[in-house]
Amino acid sequence: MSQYLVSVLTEGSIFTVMALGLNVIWGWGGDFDLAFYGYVALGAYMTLVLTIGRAVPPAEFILGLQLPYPLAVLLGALAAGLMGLVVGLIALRHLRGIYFSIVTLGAVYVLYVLAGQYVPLFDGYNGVSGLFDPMGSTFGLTYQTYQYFFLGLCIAVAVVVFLLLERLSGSRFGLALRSTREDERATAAFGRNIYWLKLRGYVLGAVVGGLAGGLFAGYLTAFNPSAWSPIETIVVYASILVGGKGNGRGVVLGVFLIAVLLQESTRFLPQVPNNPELVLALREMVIGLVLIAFIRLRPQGLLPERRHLDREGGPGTGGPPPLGAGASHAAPQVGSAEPDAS
Amino acid sequence: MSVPAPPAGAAPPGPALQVEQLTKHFGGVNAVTDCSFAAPRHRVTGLIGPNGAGKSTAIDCISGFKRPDAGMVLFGDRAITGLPPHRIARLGLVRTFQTPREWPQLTVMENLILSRYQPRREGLWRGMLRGGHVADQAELAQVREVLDQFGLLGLRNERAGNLSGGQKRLVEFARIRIAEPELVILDEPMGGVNPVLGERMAAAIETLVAHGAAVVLVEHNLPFIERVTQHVVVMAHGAVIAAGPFEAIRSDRAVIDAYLGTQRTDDA
Amino acid sequence: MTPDSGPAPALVVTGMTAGYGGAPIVTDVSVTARRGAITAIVGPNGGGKSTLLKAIAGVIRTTSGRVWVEGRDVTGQPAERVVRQGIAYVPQVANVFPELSVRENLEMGGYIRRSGVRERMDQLFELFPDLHRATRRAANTLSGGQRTMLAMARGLMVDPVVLILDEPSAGLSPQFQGLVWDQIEQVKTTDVAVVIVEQNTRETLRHAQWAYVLTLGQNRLEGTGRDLLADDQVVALYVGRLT
Repeated sequence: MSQYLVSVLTEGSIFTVMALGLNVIWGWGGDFDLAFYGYVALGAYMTLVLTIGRAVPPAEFILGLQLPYPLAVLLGALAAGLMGLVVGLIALRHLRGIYFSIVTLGAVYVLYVLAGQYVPLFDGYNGVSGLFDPMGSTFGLTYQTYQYFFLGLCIAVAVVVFLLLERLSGSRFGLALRSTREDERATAAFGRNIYWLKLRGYVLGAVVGGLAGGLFAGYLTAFNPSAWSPIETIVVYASILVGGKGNGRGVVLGVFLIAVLLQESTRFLPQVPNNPELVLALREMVIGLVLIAFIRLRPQGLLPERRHLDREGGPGTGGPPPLGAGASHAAPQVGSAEPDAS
Repeated sequence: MSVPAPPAGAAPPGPALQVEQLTKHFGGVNAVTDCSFAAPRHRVTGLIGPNGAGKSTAIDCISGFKRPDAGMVLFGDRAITGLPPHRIARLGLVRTFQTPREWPQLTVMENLILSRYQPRREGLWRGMLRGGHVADQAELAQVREVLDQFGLLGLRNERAGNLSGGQKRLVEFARIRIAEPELVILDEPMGGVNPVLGERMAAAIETLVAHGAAVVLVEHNLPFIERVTQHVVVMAHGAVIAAGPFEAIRSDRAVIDAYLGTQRTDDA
Repeated sequence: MTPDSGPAPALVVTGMTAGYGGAPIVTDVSVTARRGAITAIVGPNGGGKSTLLKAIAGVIRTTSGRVWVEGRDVTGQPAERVVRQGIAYVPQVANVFPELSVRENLEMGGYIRRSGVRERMDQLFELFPDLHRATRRAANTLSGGQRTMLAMARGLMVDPVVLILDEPSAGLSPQFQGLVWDQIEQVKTTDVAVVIVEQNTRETLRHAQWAYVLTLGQNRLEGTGRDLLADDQVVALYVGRLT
């Protein structure tokens, strides 16, 4: 496998984990969270400062421990979860819709500015670097074979996250969380504390985002504010929107289409002689156009959220005709597992 | 309409719901002033009054969706004034809204399953680690049975948002059945439903009472109120102006004046 | 029904059936209104009175029915065209632009006029002196009664044949309700056909030259305001004795 393909797939797996985390917040909870990339970033930063050891002046950053990589990644994810808890406690209490989004945007901007300006934290704009081949020495891997190992690691993490979240989606918790997206008042009227419900979903999403950040740090070997631009958040959202909001499989498909295909395909376009930046700009334009097209024409994504069907119990004994019988309604599809294009 | 006999055995004394001097104002407008009434157990109590009388605000205050400025709400022997809506629902007081509020993207079956709050089953860890089943077989069977009784079994896998207005109302009743509340507040259930179907609606309400619930019914449709309720409370201008059986209410001077308005005495 | 005489009535509605999608709220309703008269639509809540007004004004789609303004068929036209045909609709809420001044509100009301905006404004200021005193004030600083006055004046800017009022005194204190009726009587003197739905039935019937009682979306009774005030059937319809 070519080195290029390995790196594309590795990045794709990491973005898959990211998108699965955001899917919990946006796809299930229905909240348009603009702080999400901050959790990824925090996970990356924390993983780095927990693995690369003491800061060597003039570089400055906090902690500077040398913990094993898996432990550092988990701690990074927890740190992201903690930040998610703080943001969620404030933003989810009374705010919804655009007001929620604005507050989360404010929160992530605070972190962004702190990371960039407050040098003792993560060495400002230089960022933190030096995470080379984590766990490589443990397994005695060479430079060549390491990339396959890391790819395998990322895929494994993506698979585990996918399976756990699919399970959660089909659970009572997942159902309850999705109901808050549909109609909060009804959810409350039937006994659920929507604040607590959404908060748990939000923190979970943040933890998964931080986890992806830890993997991202291993992939990039470093992290600094330039790796952290608004376009990254848009790409993750676009993946979910195109692939299928709320649907785990859809999210994976979306990541593959948007984050991988789109971003990488423009690499093969010929460079315009006097304007090397053009291709990058084109890429961002294409993503924007795809987003607009999908929002307008197919907002539920390519693989819409599937209904969980009840197959037992038969087609029904017929009872008295329902109220308003004769008004239009679609025929029931018992036993079908196809997502309907609603 | 036949009044169901209270279940055998010592029934707990006192009304299902007691509202005392409930007061709520918004920005200078006194929406509810000193509203007091009681809803007896195992009965259907009507809450009527002209537009702007404060019925919706009173209901919102009772069910926790608004915080009253003063007054007390007793549910059985428990004070529930000012509690958040989910806590009140867990205590057994369930309400509907003026428009049916189903969860549109979820199936009818899921709508019903979710109507019963199961604290031990809804944890995040449990959902992720112990395997995702929304409900056990017994619960699923009960849900199917209720769906069948309402004639909705064939629609159980439909997204609830695709149903007609009348079907959505039925789903609402089915949800309330699953929730097994002690008190149900129905907020204009006949709204948007063909009056011809009043019989089915009345039957659904009687089923709720037969299962032990007390019902408070807010409605504009007065013939329906007459048919279904045993006790009626009339609100106007934010306060209760009359209470009693419908026959007495309808001839009450104050009630007629509230509905028809009063003429200005001075001719400017 | 008042005898046909002279020019075509200001407003004739026949067979109006309309709703908001799903079952119709009003079915086969007919009303007629004349210039210089107050025509009231009354009836128990949920009877479709507001819906009828919206249907006439072109705010909602109708399933069937015809609408004539002084003999011209204006059926099926959307709200912005209906206004050019001579029907001014004053809704119950959001009937003034809160941030704009009284003058600016009136200017917006007269937007479709080709000429005579200034003159018309002066005429209305004469009709509503209170508004004249508040010309520069933002609409959201006005009292409830003044706001209703402004909403009506704004509707009158186009010199309409028919002025439709949907519960103009909703949410106002009793003293303002009296004020609103005074204003409506003033408007009547300018030879406009006033069609009104109001909460206080008795007071409305006291002022109405002609009234229609709607129940469950259909014509039930009609007559002069005075006759209906004395009619026991009206009371019975409200308290559910008749269905």
